Formats: sequence, structure tokens, C-alpha cells
Amino acid sequence: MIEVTDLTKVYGSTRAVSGLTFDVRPGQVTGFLGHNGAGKSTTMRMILGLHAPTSGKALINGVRKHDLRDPMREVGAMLDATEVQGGRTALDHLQALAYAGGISRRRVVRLLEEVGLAGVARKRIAGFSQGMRQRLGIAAALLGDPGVLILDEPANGLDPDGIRWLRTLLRSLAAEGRTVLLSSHLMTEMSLTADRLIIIGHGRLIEDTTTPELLARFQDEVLVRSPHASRLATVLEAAGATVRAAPPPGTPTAGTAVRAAPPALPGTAGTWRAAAPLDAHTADGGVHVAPSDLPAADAAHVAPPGRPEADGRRPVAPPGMPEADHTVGATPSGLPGADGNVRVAPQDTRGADSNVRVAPQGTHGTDSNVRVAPQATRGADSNVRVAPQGMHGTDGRVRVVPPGTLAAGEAVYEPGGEGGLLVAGMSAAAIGDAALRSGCSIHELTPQQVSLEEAFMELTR
Amino acid sequence: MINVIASEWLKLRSLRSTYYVLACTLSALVITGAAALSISRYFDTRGLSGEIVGTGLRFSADIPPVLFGMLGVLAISGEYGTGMIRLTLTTVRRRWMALLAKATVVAAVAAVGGQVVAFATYLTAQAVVSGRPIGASLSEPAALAEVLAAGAGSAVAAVIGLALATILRSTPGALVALVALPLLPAVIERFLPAPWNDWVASLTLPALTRQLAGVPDAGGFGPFTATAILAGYVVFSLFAAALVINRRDV
Repeated sequence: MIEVTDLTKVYGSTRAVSGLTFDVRPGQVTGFLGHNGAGKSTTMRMILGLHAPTSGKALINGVRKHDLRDPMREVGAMLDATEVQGGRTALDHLQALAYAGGISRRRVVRLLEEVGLAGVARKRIAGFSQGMRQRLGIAAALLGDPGVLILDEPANGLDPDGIRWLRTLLRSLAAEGRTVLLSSHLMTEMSLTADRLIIIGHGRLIEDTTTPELLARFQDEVLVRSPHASRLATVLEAAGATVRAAPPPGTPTAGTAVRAAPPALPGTAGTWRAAAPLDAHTADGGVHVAPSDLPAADAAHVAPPGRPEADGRRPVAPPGMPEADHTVGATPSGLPGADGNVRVAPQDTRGADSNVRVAPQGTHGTDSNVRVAPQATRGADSNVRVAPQGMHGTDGRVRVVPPGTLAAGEAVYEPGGEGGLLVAGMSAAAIGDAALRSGCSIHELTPQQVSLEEAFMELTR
Repeated sequence: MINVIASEWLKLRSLRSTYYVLACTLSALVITGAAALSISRYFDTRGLSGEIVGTGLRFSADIPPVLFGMLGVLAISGEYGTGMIRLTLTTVRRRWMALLAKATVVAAVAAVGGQVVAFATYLTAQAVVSGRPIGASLSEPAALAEVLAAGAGSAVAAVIGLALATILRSTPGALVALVALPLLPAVIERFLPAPWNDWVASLTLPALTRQLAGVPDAGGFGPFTATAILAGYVVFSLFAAALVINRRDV
């Protein structure tokens, strides 16, 4: 257990750490995140009694480091694996530390084996790679079999095997009821290893939460692939979800989409909506581009879902009879807001004719062009593009964009094959249930992974 | 505390720099040997009219304090330089324990090493003199005392070196200080009236070591005062270093 209370450290005129308060609980791996210079290392040093706090306190097992009776058996630390004297052999280095804590030679030898350095135990550390030093540092931290572990960037320089080994090790140490605090810039690794996250920036606490909670907060989309995508989209929208077309597989989206469209953007003004048929029959492939008047038009779009298909599937239950107010109410919340996003709404009742409609709503952002791109590729600008095959735009602002110029995060409709939807505001389970009730089959149902890196950057911006 | 001493003992043993420094102390033998050779030649031509060799220690008396001081410096400056001091200090209950353990280890090594070097220097001088009546015999109490005092002087030098490095936290800085400090009295004494100039000149480690042994004309203090001053050096430097290591962020 580590308790940090109102911890502050001032160096001259710099406030390295400012009123930091958090607990690191036993039985969990706690990740300590922050940019370079955020105060992580300073905080760790204060916990370890190496730096004296300007004010506040940092306690290990209820007391200051200074007051621990047998420090090596209570806390193990690795602050910087390069901070060793290279002239010594690995064995001597560990043995010297072991002597200080009255730790047996057997433990030293066992740890050298455990961290994979048994073969180089009698080699001088100067010749070690960064990864080997890292392993040695971890061995030193574990020498006293301590209940509290503090590791600064332990995964640095480890090979993939080493990282996996470290992850397993830390998780098992935590499972034994130990307190594990580790910092790392390897976000993917951190999201796999840490149960809790403490995020600091400029010496202040930004977030103290669990990893799943943090990821869930930024992860509000579920990818659904279905042969009945358009019907399913109608059903889901009726249930309050926000649905947009999924970019074709292989296009990086999830994180980008979240960043491109913060839910807090004002209203629906400037949002492009593409009412695209997601079924395969685009024989006609017409595109109507027409400005729509009001956000309330949502209701109309979401309204009666397609008729039950005649292929013997279970008829759609009362077709999500869209309580208009519900739909409208739900739309703005999850609607990808910024200009440059395309939201694919289900077909309206005339679905059979498979028109693609791009409906700019009154005011839109800087560039209101609608472009039609024959292929889904990525580009630099943020224009909205909708890509059906043949099209006859009635609006002068529709033009064809050559392939290779589509912006990241754009929704693109590709005719033919099954349809992909990105559904926000509904859990994967709820989507599955809704699909089952409406008789739509689902080929894929994947919560979109927002990486911890994205979440971290978002929080510390 | 015994544990920490064991740890520091292994640390000192496991660094090659320790052996390099110890090997360098052999230069004292070379210098004394050369001096004894030169005096022996003079004796062979001119007889007893000139200087005598005696124990031979005084020709190389400045060497062991500097080298054993360096041993003390390296015992901690290497840890400051690499950052390993942080690891060391997290493993001990109190920071001064690490310092005291290092002081114990380097003082012990310097005392033994200094003694060995002193005897070796003495034997080298007597070997070169080889029977001429210009040497000294350990059966003379004064000669034995002079040789025995050398170990104590080396131990004090090692502790001072350790303290300097703890305070300065830098290998070059501590080494410069270690070499410059003994020169200071020699500079100052020129500007002081008697008897102050004598006293200041008597404060250097080699001078105190000889005064400790009661060597005639070695300085202004008797063996007792010299012992007290040497002890004072140890206590003062350790105290200052402990204060600094306890207070300062590492």
C-alpha cells in the first residue's frame, strides 16, 4: 500500500509535483502515466525517501520510507536500470545489495535465473544490453521479496519475450496481494498490464481510475457487419444509437474517429449525413444531394425501417416504431459532430430504390463540398465524401475525388457485399439483442478498441 | 549495520578501480628505493657526511595519503556518478548507515594496505641500503613507531576522501580537493608568523603521521595532540558528510 497525500515538490521556482494525492492499492498493478517531466520520477523518488517533499507526505505501508524497519523486504524499486556501476559483475551487484538486506545467496542465484541472466551472472554489467540491465534492475527490486514494488519504465529495452515475461510477472506479483506501481510510456503494454491508472500532468493528478473504465469512456463505438446493415441500422437508431457507415476493413478508424468527432461539438449544424443504402442492390446507384432543413429530419430518416424481407427471415417486430422524440433526443449526443464526418442513416421507406442521399444541414463547416470518391482511401483534408458507384449529383457541389485522397476517419459507402456499421451509444450486447429481435444476422460484432494512447493523449492535452 | 558493511565490502572488492589504486601505492616503494639508492651512492663515496636513509618512509610519505584518499573518493563518487547511490540508499534504513559502512570498509582497507605499503617501503629502503649504517632497524622503538603510524595516516586519508566525495558528489571534484587540501597549509604557512606557521605546516596528514610516531623535527605537535587532531579530522569529515547525505535529495 502506498499513500500519497497532498505531495508537493518545488525545485527553485519549478513546481515539479503539486498537491498530488492518490493511493496505490495492494493486489493490483497500478500504472503511473504522464508525459516526460510530468513528475512521475520525482513522485517515485519522494515515495522512496530519496527526495524530501516540500510538503505533503508519501507513505509506504503506513509509514515513511525512512521509518521502514526492513526496507528491502517491504519495498523494492527500480528507478533507472542504467544506474548501476558497470565494472561489477551481475552476481556481485546483486549479492552486494543482498548483503545489505541480509538476503541469502540462494535467493540471488534464483533471481538471476528467474530474470534470465544466469548465463551472464559472472559477466561485467558494462557489457550488458539495455534489456539485460532492465532485467538486472528488476531482479534487484525483487531481492527482498517485497510487498511493494515501484518500477520506473521497467519495460524499456526489453524484447517482446521480455515484455511478456514482465507482464506475467507483474500480474502474478499483484495477484499475490502485492502493491505494484509502474510507469511506462508503452501504452499498449500498460493497458494490458495495469488494472488501475494514475495519470498526472504538470505535477498534478489528472485521472485516478481503472483501465477498463478509462477505455470504456473513450470507447463508444461498436463495429457491426451485417448483410442486413441498412435494416439493422434503422433498428439501432430507433433504439437510440447513433450509426454511421464503417470504413472498409483495413482503414484505421476507431481512435481517429473519436478524436475527429468529440461528442461535445455544438449541435448537428454542419454535420453531413449520408443516407446510404447498405444493401447490395445499387443497380441504379443514384445519388441525391439535397440540403435538408432541420435536425428534426432525423426522425424521418430513422422512421419506418425497411419492410421485412421476403427471404423467410423472421419478420421485424413492430419495426422500431421510432418514437420520434426519442430518436431526436438521442441523435445529438452520439452524433459525430464535426464537419468532415459522414453519418450513415438508414434508408427511408423508399429503400428499394437504393438512393444515396447526402444531406448538408443548413450551416456546415469551412468546406461544404460533397465529394464522391470511387474508392476508400485516405487523404489529408476533412471533406465529406460519399462513394457510390455511379452517381448523378444534382447539386453543383458534388464532385468526384480521385482515389488515394480520402481523409482518415471518413465514412465511406461501398456498394456490394455486406455492410459495416459503427454504432455509438449502445453496447455490443445490446446491439446483438436488437439484431436478434429484428431478425438481422450479424457477421461481426466488435467493440472498437480505443487505445490507451489515444485516451491518454486526449486526457493530457 | 554488519549487513551494510558486508555489502560495502563486496562493492569495494568487486570494482577494478580498487585494485588499480592499490597497485599505484607501489610507486611509494619505487620513490623510496630511488632515494635510498642515491643516498647509498653518496655514502659510498663521501661516507657519513650527508643525509641518512633511516626507515625510508619520509621520501614517499605524500603518496599513500593521496592514493588511499582516492580509494575513499571512489567508494562513493562512482555511485553518485552512475546514480547507483539511489539504489544503495533505498536498501538501507538510514542513509548515514551506508556512509558509515563505506567509511569502515575504506578505513580498514587503507589501514591494512597502508601498513603493508609502509613495511614494504621500509624493507625496500633497507634492501637498497644493504648493511650500510645509514638505515634503521625495527628493533629501534622510534623506527617501529614510524612504520606503524603510516597505516593510521592512510586510514584517516581514506575517510577524508570519502567525505569529500560525499559532499562534492563528483569524482574529479573530490580528487582535486584531495590533492589540493594538503598543499593548502604549505601555502598558508608562508604568510603566518611563528609559531602559527609551524602549527599550520604540522597539520598535513604526512606531518601528523610522523608526529604521531614521535619522529623528531616532524612538526609542532606531540604524539598525543597529533592523535587528537587525526581523530578530529575523521569525526569532523564524517559528521559533515553524514549531515549532507541525510539532508540532500539524491
